[in-house]
Amino acid sequence: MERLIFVLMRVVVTLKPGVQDPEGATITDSLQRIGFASVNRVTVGRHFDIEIPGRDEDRIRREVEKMCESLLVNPVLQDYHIERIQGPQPAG
Amino acid sequence: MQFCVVTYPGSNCDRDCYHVIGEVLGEPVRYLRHWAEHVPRGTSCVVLPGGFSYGDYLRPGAIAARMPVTGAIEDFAAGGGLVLGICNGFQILCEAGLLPGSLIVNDHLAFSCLPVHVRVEGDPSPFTHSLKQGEVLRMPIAHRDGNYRPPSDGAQPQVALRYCSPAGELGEDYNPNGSQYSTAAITNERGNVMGMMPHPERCAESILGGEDGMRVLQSAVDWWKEVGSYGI
Repeated sequence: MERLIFVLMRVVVTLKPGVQDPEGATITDSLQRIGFASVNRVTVGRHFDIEIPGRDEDRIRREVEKMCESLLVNPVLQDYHIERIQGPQPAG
Repeated sequence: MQFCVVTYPGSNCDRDCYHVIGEVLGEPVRYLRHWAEHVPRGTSCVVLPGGFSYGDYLRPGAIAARMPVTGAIEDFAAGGGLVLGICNGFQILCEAGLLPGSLIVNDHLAFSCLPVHVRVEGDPSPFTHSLKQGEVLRMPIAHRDGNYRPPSDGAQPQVALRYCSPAGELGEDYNPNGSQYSTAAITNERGNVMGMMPHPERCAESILGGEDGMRVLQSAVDWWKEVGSYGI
């Protein structure tokens, strides 16, 4: 029996430049307070790793873009980019 | 005036809203579940209550905004129906695009649960119809993500309520979450959709320490009786 083949994509979501980032500001301040004086600024984002069956990376990337626009990203505040983490390979 | 209170998984102010509308305001009210595909015929106002819909996962309100009932509420609002989002309900309306802008984490990163004062602003809306511009109301807030940010295109939202001092002055000292321009409530351009971070349903009976919340709900009823039958 043929094993299912998957592509693993990572969506990285970051705040748009200029959007207030209280969490990042607090982490910046904390790092500076505990001795990392060299830290200028920390911004906070998050990532989603999405496993999708198939071999066609272009199609899968387009599907992930649709997911970002439909749910994963708030376009008022956030930017995103998609990285391929693993090419087509059997699910691990 | 028929009200509907929406219940999403994780809503936790739905019963309070249902009680206040039915028992205190004395208007007919029913629940609307998250899987509903239509707002019942004859409904005049839909209330999206506070809580933690879908566990606040992803972003507060993000998942609820994509549920079938929210699409139905969008159609209902487009037809002139009144929509009031309270706290998490406000976050859902922003995520769904029914209101402009977004609500991010409070500037001090903590959950704020306290009474605040808000000042009625000038833009007309059914929800402030019976209130005077500049009037100050006292209502409780309870949220971690109430820091209002307007849309990045520079468009200014219609502000219905701003955080203020008991005397109605604006200032950082009276802004509990860092909201831009001390914004506590906004409406859409048409005025029939309002989102507010304070909880009117938690101050609608004197036994609970205040009745100012009733004035917002009563406004919607007054407006509907005076104007609503002609449409908005």
